[in-house]
Amino acid sequence: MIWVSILVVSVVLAGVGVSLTSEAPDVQLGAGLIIQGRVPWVLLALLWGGVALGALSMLRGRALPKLAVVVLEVVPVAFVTWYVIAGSALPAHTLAIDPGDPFPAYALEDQDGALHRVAALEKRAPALYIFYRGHW
Amino acid sequence: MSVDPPSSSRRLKERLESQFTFLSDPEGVLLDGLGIRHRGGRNDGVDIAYPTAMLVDADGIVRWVFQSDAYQERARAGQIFAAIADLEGAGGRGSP
Repeated sequence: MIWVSILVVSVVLAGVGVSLTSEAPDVQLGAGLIIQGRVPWVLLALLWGGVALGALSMLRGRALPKLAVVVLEVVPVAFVTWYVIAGSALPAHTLAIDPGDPFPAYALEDQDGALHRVAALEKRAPALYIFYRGHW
Repeated sequence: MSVDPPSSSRRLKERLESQFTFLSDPEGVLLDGLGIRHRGGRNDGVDIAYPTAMLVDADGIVRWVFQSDAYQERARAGQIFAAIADLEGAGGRGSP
């Protein structure tokens, strides 16, 4: 049973790792089959189910080495659990802009320090603005 | 676009080998204008943006918005391309 536990936890964690690091848009967290939804309960159930199998297997003997395995599993599984739940509990807020509204004026520097100044309703090339959390 | 300084944005752009322009909004002026300021959202207490994507047409009008209140959830490429196709189908101006 400990091997099943190791298999489940390592395969699901590997899936999370691929999801978080992949540059392919459809593999990112939130898009994978087991990671769908605001809080990916299926993913968490698989991970903690795998850990539980490891813990149960301790009842069948050789408890100490199995305990070491379970501890090794719990650390990354607890981290993933914290990550997905914390990220799903951002404070509620209201957008100040709806489709059909003018995009606000701005004067901001780009990555090279060049100033980009655009007035509200100024003619421009159509643009996609992506606001990311930064600090990468 | 992020609250990171230009130097951080440059490193990120180089690391990603991206062709996009990375604008810096350290004061969060646009975050307030758009209502997407996540107060104290970064681990060190700095205000950052709620993950948001907006498509703006040639007249400066917002035509499409994607936002989530979960930071793992982002606009997928398919959603973005569909929004762009809609805008192009409307002659770059979107529907009134």
